[in-house]
Amino acid sequence: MKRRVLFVDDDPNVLQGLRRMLRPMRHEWEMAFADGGPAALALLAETTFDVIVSDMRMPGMDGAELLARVKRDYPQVVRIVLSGHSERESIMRSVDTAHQYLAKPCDADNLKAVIARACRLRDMLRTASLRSLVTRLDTIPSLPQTYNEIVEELESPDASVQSVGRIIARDVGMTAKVLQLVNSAFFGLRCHVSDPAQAASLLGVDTLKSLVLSVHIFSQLDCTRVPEFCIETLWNHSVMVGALAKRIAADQSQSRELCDHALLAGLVHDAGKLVLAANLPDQYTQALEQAHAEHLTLELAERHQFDTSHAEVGAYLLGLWGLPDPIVEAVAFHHHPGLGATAFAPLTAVHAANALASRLSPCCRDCIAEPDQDYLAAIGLGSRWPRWNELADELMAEGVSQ
Amino acid sequence: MRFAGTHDKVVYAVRDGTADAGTVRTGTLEHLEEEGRIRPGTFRVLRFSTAPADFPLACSTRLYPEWPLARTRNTSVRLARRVALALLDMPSDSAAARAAHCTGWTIPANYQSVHECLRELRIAPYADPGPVSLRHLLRRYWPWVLTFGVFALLACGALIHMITLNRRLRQSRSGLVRELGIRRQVEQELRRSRARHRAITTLAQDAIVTADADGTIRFWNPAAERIFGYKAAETLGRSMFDLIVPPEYRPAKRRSMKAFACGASGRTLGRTLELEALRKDGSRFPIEISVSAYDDEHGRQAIALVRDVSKQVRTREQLTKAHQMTSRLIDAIPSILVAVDAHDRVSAWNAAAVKLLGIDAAGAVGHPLETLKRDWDYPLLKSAIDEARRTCRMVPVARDVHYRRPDGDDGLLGATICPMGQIGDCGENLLIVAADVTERRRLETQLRQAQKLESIGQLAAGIAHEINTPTQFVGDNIRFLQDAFRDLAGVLAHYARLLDAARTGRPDARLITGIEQALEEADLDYLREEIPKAIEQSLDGVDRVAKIVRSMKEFSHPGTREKQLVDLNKAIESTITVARNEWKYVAEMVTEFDPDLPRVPCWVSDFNEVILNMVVNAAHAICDVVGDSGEKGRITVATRPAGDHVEVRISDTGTGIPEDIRARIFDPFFTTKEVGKGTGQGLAVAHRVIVEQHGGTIDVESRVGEGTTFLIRLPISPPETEPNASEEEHRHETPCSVCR
Repeated sequence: MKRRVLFVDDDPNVLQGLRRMLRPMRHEWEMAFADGGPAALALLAETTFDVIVSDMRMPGMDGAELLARVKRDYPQVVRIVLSGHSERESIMRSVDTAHQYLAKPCDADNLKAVIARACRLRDMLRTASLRSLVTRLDTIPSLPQTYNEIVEELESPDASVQSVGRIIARDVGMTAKVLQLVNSAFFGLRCHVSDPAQAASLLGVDTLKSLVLSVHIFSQLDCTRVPEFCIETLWNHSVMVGALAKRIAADQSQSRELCDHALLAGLVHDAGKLVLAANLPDQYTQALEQAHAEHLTLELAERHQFDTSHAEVGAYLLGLWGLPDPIVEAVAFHHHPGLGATAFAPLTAVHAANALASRLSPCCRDCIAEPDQDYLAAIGLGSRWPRWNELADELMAEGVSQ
Repeated sequence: MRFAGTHDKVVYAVRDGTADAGTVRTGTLEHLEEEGRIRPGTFRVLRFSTAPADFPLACSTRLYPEWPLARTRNTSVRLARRVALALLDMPSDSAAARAAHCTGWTIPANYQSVHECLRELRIAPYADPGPVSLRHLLRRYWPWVLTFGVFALLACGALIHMITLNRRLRQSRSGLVRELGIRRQVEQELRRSRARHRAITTLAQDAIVTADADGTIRFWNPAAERIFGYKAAETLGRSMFDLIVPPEYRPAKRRSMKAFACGASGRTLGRTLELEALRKDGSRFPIEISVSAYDDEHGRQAIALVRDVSKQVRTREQLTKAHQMTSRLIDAIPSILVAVDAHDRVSAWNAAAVKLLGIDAAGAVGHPLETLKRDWDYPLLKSAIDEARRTCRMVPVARDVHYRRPDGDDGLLGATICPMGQIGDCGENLLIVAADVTERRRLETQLRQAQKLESIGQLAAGIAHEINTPTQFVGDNIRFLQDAFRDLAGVLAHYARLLDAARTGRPDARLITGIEQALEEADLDYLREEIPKAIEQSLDGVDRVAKIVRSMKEFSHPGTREKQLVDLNKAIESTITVARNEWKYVAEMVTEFDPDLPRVPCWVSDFNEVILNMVVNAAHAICDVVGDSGEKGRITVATRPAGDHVEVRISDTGTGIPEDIRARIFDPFFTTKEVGKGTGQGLAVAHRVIVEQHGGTIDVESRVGEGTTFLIRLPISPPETEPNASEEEHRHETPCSVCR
């Protein structure tokens, strides 16, 4: 089935150029072109689209407004901005409406890749209702304590980018959001950064201030709505998995990027749980209760409840937000690594770290995960398991001594 | 018995024993005893009878009348007198006498007094004395005459003496009277003087006090009572040191009073001093005292006039304070305040002048302003001073006055000359008010530069968009052309093979189907249709980029030191292009340029800024009307020559400017845009550039709801008298002067 992509720009030359340039994709995508917001909305009303790519500044209804309406009325559509504007004001307005931001001139391959990836994401999360829900999200909730901390820090007159970065790096939602902003061209950075502290310093305190305090890119989880769900345990678990995944990656590879990805993927691998718990608290409570009652893994209980798991939900959202593919893959398959990479990848590290962490902290009954020894053997790393165990013990020792 | 004859003989007869007793008349014995002719006690009086007490003589017998004739009490005097006369005149031969045997009545011889009496009476025997001769008289009365003559002589002498004495008396009396008059006058004078003195001392508002050399108070007038609080009675006879001199001054005062007693004049006498004194209630107050000295019976006296000067001192203190306040105020003013007299000599020089000009007040006051400083633009200042004198008005110095600051840096003074007189009479004194405006000018220059940068910065985002968009589609088109060429190359390869086959012999049917397949794959019809468009649009895009870049270059022309002849049409065109992103979403741009517009001398970069502001304002005004409706307004920019001017008309179909703010739109910092949207400088800059720099005009017509038209008129040849000021000002604006 062809994916449907809608392009919106007030300059007909741009539309024609895109049409010609993307002609080779005509067998995979069905493309439509609209010369403004109203025309785009009219097309959306006629047919469903998977992806919308819109200019920002247009006469009448501008891109931010169009995407806001799309988000409201057609939440399942992946929203991408393709703009020649670099004004902060319009970027700020697009932060909570666009999943990704591409700057004109955008090279053809990048544009194709982004669109293609957005199209593929659909396959990851098959439940349409859930897909609509997640596509509409613009935040992953944070630990209330951490949220207050960062707000306080940013409101103080001598907020430093270092301390802000440290706070962000401790939080799943914040990390994911900040990485979305720097990995997309929102602020014209267009560099793949996977270190949240570095991302914070790239954005700068002033931008973070308006993002956090005015645009509210972060939110806090209302824990009372999911009494069974302990966000602090999850938080500890995530931090530990991140740290361990990074050590495993470092032990296995020299690649700095791979290590960073491993850390990040470990940190956000359970983002889906947060999304589900925050947005579908009743159902999630049921899943939790079922898991406890029937001694199922939470993943299985989720599948019963949602026909999908937190892994897919997380991966879908992070993919929407344009986080690097290895991270999305690691999140998506951290329970079933066999479906993913066939060589050592962040996925491998996160999978192993997840299993090791759940073993090290038995109290976290929602984090129980078993290592897929077959997978490890298949990619020729079965012998590394004892070494990774040692790394986990070292990390525990350090954590305890701290 | 015998008659002795006389009584004396009787007495002698008794004494001599010739008789045993005798009778004598009363008093005879006393007479004889008195005359010493008998010895008292020798005789005894028989039948002694006492006489009345006042009778001085021994009374031998009873008293009987002296006179032989006597009158009884019952007889009248006249009768007695007639009887006596008759008796005495009785002639001896008269019958009566004969009858009585007497010869008549006569008077005893020794009754002298009776004789005299009879003579006087001119009765017998002295009835007719006969004629009286002078000799007779002399003879008779010569002792009397002599005595009289002597007496008369004596009287004459006495009279003369008396007259002399009288005259002297009169003389001395008149002298006395005169003296008395003088004395009276003197007394009167004295009285008057005393009254005057009393009046003066009583009425005097100043205390008048006199004191002895030892300080004992001798006089104390009512004013003194009032001033010091002591009644006169309380002070007289007391020491003034104890009463009115504050304790700490007493020793010194006593010393100087001692010296005064010895005649020293000290530093007090004849001067007016200001001292502190004591009131009765113990309070202290300042006095003004004048002391003088005089001598009287008590020795040297000091008289003092004392005035209570509390009020004056207070007033003086207030005045001093006010004066100090004023000077402090003047010195606190950070501006230079310099007053000069008619000859431009400095008469006042405040602290700011000291600080900024590096000359202290002592070195400046009294000296001609011109000579004070070498390294400053005095001629400029002088011309303003002269103008102020001539016009009697406040004259701002036309340009900033260059000067060397004390730290050695060059500085600029903004100065104003103010006449210090009244209206109509400006007097000859002038006040020069000046402030160091170096920093301000620098900031102004920076601000202008920043404004320019800001407007360029604002444009930059739009320009980036204007460039990014064509770049996007040019890139896309070329990418398409690349793909298309690859497809076409594939088709051409098939054709080449077909050509080879055709050359060598029969073309293979497979070749034909290959071509057909390739053609289908390449979608040749599509390519044939799209490639020219892609090329055309790409060229168009490249043109757009090129045009923007060119316009930017023209727009941001750094500016020249002097005006250049500028093709305003071209300049406006570039500006509109550069600003395209600002207006294209809300408005159509209509340009009505007169192709024959003469070139105009102007600073093109400033002019461009004005047009940019106008166009951006127009776009904003239209945006307020159309909002997000997607509709567009219209901006019309028209140029045309109009006599010795050219007109640039910028019209929009925006909201229009409300009547009540129309007058203020050229004011700096006036803005109706929300905070952060505009600095409020745009139209102020426009006004400055067009009116002040170029000598043109800028007018606005506006109807609320219909739109606004700005009409700029620039002179084709600028007035020759245009002040250097704007040139200089302009020079400050150019980047080269910024980095000075």
